[in-house]
Amino acid sequence: MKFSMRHGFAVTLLIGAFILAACGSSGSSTGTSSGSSTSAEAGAKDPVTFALVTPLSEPGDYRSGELIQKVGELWTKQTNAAGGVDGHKVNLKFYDDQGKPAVGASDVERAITQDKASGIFGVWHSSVTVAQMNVVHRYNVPLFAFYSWADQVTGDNLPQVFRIGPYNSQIAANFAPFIKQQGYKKVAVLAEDTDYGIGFAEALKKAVGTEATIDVTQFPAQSEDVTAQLSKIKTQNPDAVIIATVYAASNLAVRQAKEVGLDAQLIAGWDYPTSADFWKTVGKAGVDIIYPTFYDKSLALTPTGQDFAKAYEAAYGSNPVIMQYFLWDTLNAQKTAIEKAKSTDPAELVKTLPSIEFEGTTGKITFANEKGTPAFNQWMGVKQFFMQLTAEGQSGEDATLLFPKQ
Amino acid sequence: MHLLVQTIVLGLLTGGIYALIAAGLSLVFGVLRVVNFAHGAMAMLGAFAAYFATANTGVPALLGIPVAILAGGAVGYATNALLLRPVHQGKLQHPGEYVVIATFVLMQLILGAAIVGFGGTYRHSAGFWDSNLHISDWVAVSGNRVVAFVAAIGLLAGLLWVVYHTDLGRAWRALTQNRLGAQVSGLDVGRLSGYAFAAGAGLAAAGLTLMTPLFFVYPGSGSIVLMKGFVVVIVAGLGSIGGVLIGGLALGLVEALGTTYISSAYTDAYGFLIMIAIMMIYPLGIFGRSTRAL
Repeated sequence: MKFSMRHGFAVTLLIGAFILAACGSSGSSTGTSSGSSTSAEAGAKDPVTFALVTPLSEPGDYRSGELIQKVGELWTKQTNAAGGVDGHKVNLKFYDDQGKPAVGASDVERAITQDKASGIFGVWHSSVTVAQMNVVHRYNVPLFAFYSWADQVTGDNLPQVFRIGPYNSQIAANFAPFIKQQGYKKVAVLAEDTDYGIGFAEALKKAVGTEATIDVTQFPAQSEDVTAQLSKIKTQNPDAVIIATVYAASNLAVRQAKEVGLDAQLIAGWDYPTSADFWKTVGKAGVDIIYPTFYDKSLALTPTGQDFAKAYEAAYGSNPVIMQYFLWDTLNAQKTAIEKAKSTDPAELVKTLPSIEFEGTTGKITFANEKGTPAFNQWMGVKQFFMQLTAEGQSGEDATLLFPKQ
Repeated sequence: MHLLVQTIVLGLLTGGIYALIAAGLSLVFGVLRVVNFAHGAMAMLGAFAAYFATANTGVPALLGIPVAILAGGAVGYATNALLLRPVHQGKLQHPGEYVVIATFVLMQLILGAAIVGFGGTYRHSAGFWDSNLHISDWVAVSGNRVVAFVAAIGLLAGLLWVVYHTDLGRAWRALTQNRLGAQVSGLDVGRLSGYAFAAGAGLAAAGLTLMTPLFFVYPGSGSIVLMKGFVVVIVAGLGSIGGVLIGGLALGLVEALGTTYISSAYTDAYGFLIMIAIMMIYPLGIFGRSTRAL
């Protein structure tokens, strides 16, 4: 048999399909159901589909995507075991947005039109979320952000978009008193060129005003080597450098700052120093790093939050990080809305969600409704802390609270 | 002035590693006249092998380099033997297109399997020389960066020696100059291609391993290798191994200078701009020839 290009290619594709099937669905943009087998208890009504659209492969932040996936699976398992949502079994479907706006938008379109999703969850990169917002607006389906920080997410005031988590100008506003407390007069921001990075840097400039000088140095979000940028920052002699990125450079910049002899105080733009791989990858270069977070021991978890933490630890052997609490709350927001509306129709849920009220993991959840601002369909109960890791290998639990002073 | 010196040093040190990574791509193109899109993925597998061989085992980090070469080389050799057999059998009407598609699919497969198998965690290899070297106020670089550069140049020199001073190198060069003539003279094209694929993937794996104490290893790390490698070989001229050293250093330098003095937001774009400019002036690359030669 003559071996043609067509045959060779077909064989390659078949092998590829087989290997991918054997390996599981990770990295695939095809939604896969993870609904647990509790339909007998919950199956009196038609199942309801929750779409979890998140980065599960490169170039997206798939480390966070894996954490998001875990929360979705745990919530679905628990909810279905308890009878589902208002008698509806939950089918959780995963979509890999790869951190790409176009892929994320098409995932949402597919989730709504093909899989009849009643809500979109797990969205991560702000740039992707912004692209997805137009799709949910067109189809009138709720979308829940929790750690997409761009102001625009709720700032566009789309009735379908809700956020249970912080946003850039809110975080930046909290940075201002911290910068003042620390006495920093000159602050450099190493910002990735995304809605998050640039948005944060601009919001910080606005929030700090004349209290300190803010110099922004942008870099391509996917860059791994930022030594040239850091060398340039070094010549500015800043008191502190804020590293605002969610990609590979988050950890790398910490090491590379020490490499180029940058002595300024390093501040992570978010709480990635509490992630499992921080110390393994950064080593002693990470000692004394400061990071903002939304969790501290002084933050009292509600009974819902305590139950979630226990269940998560039992299932995965580690404590959840704060963004996972917020994600848990978004899933419960949809549950509450379905129970209140007695409907899984997305349009009904969009109408119902602004007026819901329930116990979240860290406090009562309601949505603010200030038109023309990011505080629209936005939970305002976020508490922000600034922590410092003072020894190599230290966990977030043992970090020193710098702000607010107790 | 201090910043200029620092920028030049950083650019050259990074450029040396780019050159090593690109050398493998150039070798494969020179010998087989095909573009290997799985080059970066093979490098990533080799770097993971080095990581697992040295992390928490007490084995010195530098011994990870031969491990990476062997692992990357084995994957490269197997790819040539299994996936490219139809090309060597001369049974394809469009072998170039077949290789592009087949290696692209292979790259996706390796990437997907690596995400599932290794997870998304960034892994940090033990350093070769874990000191930050500060030469007065002029230059501040990591000892790991210096070791990586020296090792990369050494490996590149070794490859050039093989190409120009051994029978294997002579056979490779014969293939690049006249494939049919080399076959008629009795050279085993499949076997020589296998050696080229193995050497190319092995060197790329070594290059990526040299970078892992600086940049970490994770499933997606091969993508960056592939992108930089392509820019270097196109600037240098496809198939010109000697030229990739110049191309690699030039890319490192242009990226660093552009980032520092033009805009820090377009680091990767400077390489592509240079590539486009070079292609307009030298369509075959600076050292490329119309009749290809290593």
